[in-house]
Amino acid sequence: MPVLSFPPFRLDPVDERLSKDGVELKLRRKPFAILKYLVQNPKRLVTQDELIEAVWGKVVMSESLLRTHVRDVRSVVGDSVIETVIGRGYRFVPDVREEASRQAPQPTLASSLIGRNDELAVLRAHLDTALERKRQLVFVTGAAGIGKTALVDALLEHAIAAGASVARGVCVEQYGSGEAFLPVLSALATLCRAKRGDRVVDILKRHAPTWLLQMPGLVADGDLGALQARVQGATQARLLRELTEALELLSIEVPIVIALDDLQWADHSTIELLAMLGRRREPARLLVVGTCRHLELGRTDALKNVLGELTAHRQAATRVLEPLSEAAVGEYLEARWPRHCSPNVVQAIYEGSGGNPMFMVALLDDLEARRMVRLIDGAWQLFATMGDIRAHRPDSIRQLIDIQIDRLAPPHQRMLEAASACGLEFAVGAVAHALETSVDDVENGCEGLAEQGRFVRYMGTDAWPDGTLQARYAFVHDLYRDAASTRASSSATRLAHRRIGERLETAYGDAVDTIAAELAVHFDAAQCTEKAIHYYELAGLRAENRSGGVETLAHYQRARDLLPRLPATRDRDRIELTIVKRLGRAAIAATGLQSVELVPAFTRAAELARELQDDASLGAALVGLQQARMLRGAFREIEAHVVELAEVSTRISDPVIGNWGTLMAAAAKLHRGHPVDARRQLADVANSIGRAPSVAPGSDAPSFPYGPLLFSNLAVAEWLIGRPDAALARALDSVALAESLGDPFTLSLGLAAAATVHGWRRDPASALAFARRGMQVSSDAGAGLGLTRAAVVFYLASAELDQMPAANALAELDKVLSMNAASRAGKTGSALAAIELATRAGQFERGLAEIVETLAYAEQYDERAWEPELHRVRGELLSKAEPVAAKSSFNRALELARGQGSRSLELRAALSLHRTASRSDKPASLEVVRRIRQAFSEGATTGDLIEAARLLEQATV
Amino acid sequence: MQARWIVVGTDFSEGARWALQQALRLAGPSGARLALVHAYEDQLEASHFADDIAGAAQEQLDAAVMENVSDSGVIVETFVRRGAPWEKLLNVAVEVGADLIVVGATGQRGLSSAANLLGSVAYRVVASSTRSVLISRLPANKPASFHDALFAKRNEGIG
Repeated sequence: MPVLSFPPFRLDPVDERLSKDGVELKLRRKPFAILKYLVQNPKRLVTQDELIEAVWGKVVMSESLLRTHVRDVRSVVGDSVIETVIGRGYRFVPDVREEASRQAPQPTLASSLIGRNDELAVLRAHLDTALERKRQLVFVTGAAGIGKTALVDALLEHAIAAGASVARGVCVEQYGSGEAFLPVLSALATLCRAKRGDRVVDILKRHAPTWLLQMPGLVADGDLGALQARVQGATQARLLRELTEALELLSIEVPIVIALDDLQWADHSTIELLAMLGRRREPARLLVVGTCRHLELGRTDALKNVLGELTAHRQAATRVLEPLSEAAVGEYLEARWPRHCSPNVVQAIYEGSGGNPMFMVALLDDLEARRMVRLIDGAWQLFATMGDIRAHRPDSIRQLIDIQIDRLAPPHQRMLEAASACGLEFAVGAVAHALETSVDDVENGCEGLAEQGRFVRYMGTDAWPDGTLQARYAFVHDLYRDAASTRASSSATRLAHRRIGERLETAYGDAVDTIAAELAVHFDAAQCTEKAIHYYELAGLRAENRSGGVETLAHYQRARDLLPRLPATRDRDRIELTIVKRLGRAAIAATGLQSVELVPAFTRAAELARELQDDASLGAALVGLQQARMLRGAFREIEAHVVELAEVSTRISDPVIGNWGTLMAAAAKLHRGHPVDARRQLADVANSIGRAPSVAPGSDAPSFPYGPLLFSNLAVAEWLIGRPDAALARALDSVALAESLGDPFTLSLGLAAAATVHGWRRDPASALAFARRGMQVSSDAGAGLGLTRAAVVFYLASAELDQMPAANALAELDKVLSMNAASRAGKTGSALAAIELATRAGQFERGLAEIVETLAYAEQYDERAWEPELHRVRGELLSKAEPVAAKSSFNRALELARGQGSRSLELRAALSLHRTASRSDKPASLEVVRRIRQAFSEGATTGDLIEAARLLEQATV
Repeated sequence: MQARWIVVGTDFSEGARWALQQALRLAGPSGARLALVHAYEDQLEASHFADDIAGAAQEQLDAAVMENVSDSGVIVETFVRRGAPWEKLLNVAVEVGADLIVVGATGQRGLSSAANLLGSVAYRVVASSTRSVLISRLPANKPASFHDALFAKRNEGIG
């Protein structure tokens, strides 16, 4: 936009500056906007309505207020410049000329960056490395006011000069934990709106649709539906993968620099993203620079852990900003008060501020304000002794700011205190409501302070959903917000939060859920418990849609913790029931079915549901409870709910609940080593439902369909009882059903089951193919259980096919197993795989030790299905050195397998026995093989049966 | 060289008057100036914030100066501040560059739970100040009125 001149005045509409003969004039924001509009529309009648709409938007406003502002304009540019057309409006009289826009003055970095040359050089070196396609993560830490943001500002200028696209986002203290990816989304939004933004949107659309959907403003309405269809059921793992890949692709076209400020308040999802960006090895012209207060790092374990881990693996660098040296303070003083900074003054300022740049600048401002240092005839002179300077030294920067606020008029003090309850940024309307004063008062107050560059700065004007236009201001630094908020008494703070919350509620109307997390925090701080709980619930629902598992959980947990403050009524029980049900769902999303939150949450939900006679919820809670117990290996307790589930199922005529109960009970039986019973129950359910897709009861239960699980469990049972072909068919049924239902969680388990069955059938190539796909689906879906099960087969098959040395496969498997150590169900199965790999790798000692451990585990948790195999493998390990012990192990395996009705395991034990038997024992052991082989009616092409057939054939010959 | 300053806080209680008297006695011979501070906090129950509280406080401060100081020859400046009294005392001490803060042992707010024999303002000032603090305490055999007390003390020649 060009600069407009009407001599002797010049008006710069971009910088919002007005000057006369080169001397800058002060004009408040609204009068300036009026003048700007008139200058841009000279020589014509501008009606009052037009002017009001241009300056304030569509609002009803009194003519007298407009007249007041026009009077202000005239007082600066003269009466004759603006002509009043009585009763109609105004006309701008002079000729207006356009001038080429002046280059915006560069912000002077010199003051803020004194003493930081070394740090800037280090950051620039990281930038240079990133430009060479070696991704860089750098974290700048240090105390508040130490100059982290200024340093990053300087770096970003270099980055822009180097042609990089720069994105920036800030973490917010108040509801940072609640809004997943908040700083990342705002950084992405800046990228999308900047130069080449279309290209960014394009790449996001193709490679990261889940992200684009979080920024609906950037998607054309017509595309929204298609996009939503593509991202259905997206998990956090998928969000993370999509964004990292999109950034890598983008960085091929243009280097990307992402700056995230105040990471000490980062939400969990953002921290996860940082971890992932750091860990990936793919080349990318990407620099991520984060700032963080190190004093507060201790509070956020997640961030500390990620920073520690990335730094330890040299995937990220951390720079600690130390206080300025005395020399740097001297340099700054020399620049600010040229020719007047004795070493004594420097020392006093250095000691007073502790070398904190922000404290230092505030101290010097204060000395000038006190006129202890004055500019006389162009030279700075000191009018105080060192003793005076020391005597006036505040104890902390907070005290200094507090004293500055003391000097404001009480209404301005209250304004800042109320604003601090809003957060770093605040809308004047919210503050006005908190103080029960007029918006104009607050706006004028903020404008006045901002003009003097004190406390707050103008951020822009937004429209609230109710149509009110709101000027937004921000504290110039969080230390100012902090100082203002500490001043307010706790009762005043509570009141401010309540009123701000109420104003926002009205302003947002139907769109209130978009600020639910913010409202929850306000009403929580206001001790308006009922509303706080309501908004935490809403915030939780919203976070669920953003796949921020940990944030979702945090909202529901807080809602639950607040509940005891409400009077104990049935209504409260109802609210609690809703919350604990959602809490269970969120816990699963955050940490999987092994979450420690689950059993207590579902137990409580069941209690409440019984009390409230809410059968649908009771069913859902009991099913959830069964699932959680399954994962924790509490098999015996699972069967306790079968009867109740069947009753509930009958009462509400919903067979799904009863079927879930039977499925879980049968799965528990399977683990406990009763495959025959389990198969019968599973087959009964399978027959009753055919192949109809079946989903979990109600939307509050862990909502995945049980059909695929039914078939994958049936596959295991079929194999154990000696029907390898039926086993494979059921495993493939499970995969097909999960695919047709589009459910990634059960698909991951179905694929793992198919891989496992192929492995048992001694078809390692097919096993590997299914396992690979299972791992992909599981990691996308964040399904730890599916991942573990698929990985077990994957590494076993890889070793078997000589695609990986057994020792390496074992090391990789160990990693996967340690990641999902909390989940117990099926632990003996994965232990068996590890033992087998250890044996292949020649680590016999480890194999034997692990067998002992696993047998003890099997007994403790009653997970006995693989007990025969454990004995058999023990026999194999001992066969060379201790044939007698080996034989007894095989016999034990045979006996156990027979007792369980596990024909397949019985056959395996028999084959092992025969393989290692002495010549004299061979006829007897062959007879055992023959007897067992006869019981098989199918699966002739599977490995064990082929081996049995070969042995029997050789004997006949 | 700027003048030396003593900050003294008042909630207009009897103890505070006593503290002011003691501060005056210290200021007189040393030539120090006195910063007399009163801090008030917003009353939320009131439908509007009463900034006339500040005006009333200023009048009371002026009256206290008239009553106690006018004949002492000590230069006194008064400060009305909005906020927690202990914090505002410390702030004014920084503003004037005070060497000493004088505060009554107990005021209107009663005893602090943290220190049984100290008012909450005195306690927090002592706990937080990096400057010297004089805790002024009314004599144990509290006379019937402040004037009696002042008279008795004067006769004893304390100061």
